[in-house]
Amino acid sequence: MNIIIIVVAVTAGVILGGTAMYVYQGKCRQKELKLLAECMEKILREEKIRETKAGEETLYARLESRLVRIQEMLNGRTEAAEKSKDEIQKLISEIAHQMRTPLANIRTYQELLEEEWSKTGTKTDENVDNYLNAMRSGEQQLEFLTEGFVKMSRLEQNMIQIRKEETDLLKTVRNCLGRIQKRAEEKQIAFRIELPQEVNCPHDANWLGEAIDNILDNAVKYSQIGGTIEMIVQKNEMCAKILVKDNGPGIEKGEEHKVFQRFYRGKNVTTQKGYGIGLYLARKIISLHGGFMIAKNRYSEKGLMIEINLPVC
Amino acid sequence: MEMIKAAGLKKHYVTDNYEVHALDGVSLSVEEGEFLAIIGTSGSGKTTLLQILGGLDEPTAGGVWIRGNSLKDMTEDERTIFRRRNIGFVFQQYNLIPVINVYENIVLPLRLDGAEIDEKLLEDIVRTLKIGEKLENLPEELSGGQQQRVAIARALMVKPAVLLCDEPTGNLDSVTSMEVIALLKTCAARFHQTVIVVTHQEAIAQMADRILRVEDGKLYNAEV
Repeated sequence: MNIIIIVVAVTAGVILGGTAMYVYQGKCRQKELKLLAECMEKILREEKIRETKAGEETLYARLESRLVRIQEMLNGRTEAAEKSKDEIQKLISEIAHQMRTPLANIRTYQELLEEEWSKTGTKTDENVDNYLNAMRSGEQQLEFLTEGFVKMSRLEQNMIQIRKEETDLLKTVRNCLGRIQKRAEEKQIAFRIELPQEVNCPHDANWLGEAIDNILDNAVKYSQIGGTIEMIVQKNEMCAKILVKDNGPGIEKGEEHKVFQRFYRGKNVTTQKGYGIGLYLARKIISLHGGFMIAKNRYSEKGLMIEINLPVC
Repeated sequence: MEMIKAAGLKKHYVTDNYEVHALDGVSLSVEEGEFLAIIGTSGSGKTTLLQILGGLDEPTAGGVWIRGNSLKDMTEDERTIFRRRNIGFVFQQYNLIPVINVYENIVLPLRLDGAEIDEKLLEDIVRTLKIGEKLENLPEELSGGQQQRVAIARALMVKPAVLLCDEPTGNLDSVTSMEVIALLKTCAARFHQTVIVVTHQEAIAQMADRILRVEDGKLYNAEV
């Protein structure tokens, strides 16, 4: 009788003990999994995780040590990529900078050459004229490109400070129009301008002027002879808008977002000169002002519409 | 981030007749991802230094911290586990297990840790090290140079955070030496590893980010 009781007691004890162990282990695993989940959250939050169980021979310790390695590798790769990008920027900047001096030299001697040539009087050799023109054109293109590169890399490396010292937006706009006038007249392009009385919008007159110059330049370049370009400035409580509309070929459908990419030139425009960095620079400048730019084909007629939005406060 | 730090390392061997100062106050700091070369002549203490940095030996004085963990504050077991998980060691004497074949030798640390074997990586490594044909052989059937390369493969397979290599190219010709160092650098970049290579060959040291010189148990910055 006693033996039966003892056997039953022992069996009950074993079963209870086993169950308790099972439950306890289950809770331990839960806890560990929660800790691991927390580690992974930290990795996603880009917080550094530390090994807490470095010397243990448990599954949890192994997992933890792997997670630490994963984070190290991820961070390492990101840093390496950033560094690489930086170095490439600096390289471009240096190359462009180095090119300026020899180009300036070429321009000087070219001008001297043209002077000498025009002095000799005999204009019989048409070829030489052509050669000189071609040289001048090539040299100007190189200078234009180099300056573009220098500006681009300065913007990318955030070496440019936008100083919003000017508030009269219309003054800047009028200056830009003044600068583009000659080129527009050469192509007999008319401007239709709509400006409000006054627009108060803090901006960097030089840089914004440059951005608008680029946009107007594009508009004139891609308009046909005798075309019209519209320039409209509007203002509401939140922002100031500048719209530039042309009658050129516009953008191929589906390529609207590509227009702002470096060196994008559009399928329709291969006959025009240019390198595709004007709009890229313009957008960068606008975005440093806290604004944004949109490029769309016009609704009712053929042509491109560029919209600049600038915050007024 | 500082990956390896050593402060005031001293290793004295004392016998009845004389005292040998293998290391005499060595301190160094290695950044994450750095490739460091330590050069020195035989007997300068470089192997001792590497062993202590890897936790395989205890210094008479001074301490080593890896990723902020102090090695001397760990128990023997904890140190073993820490080493297994974080450090890959290439020994000067290879230290391969003679009773198992090359493949088993290479994957042994992974098996011990219960980790999965990255077969693709294995293929890449043994191909670059030119030991792909010898995977079924026992270590004794290989030449010195081949055994050395097996030791290197073993250390690389774990993708450890720290790689400590003691004369990894000692038995190799100059062309293979360059290939081995190039492989170490590629893996280090890919897995974001910190590598210390101890060597007496200047040409190998030149491939590192930084060179330190060991002489008579002391560390100097090497003039390149």
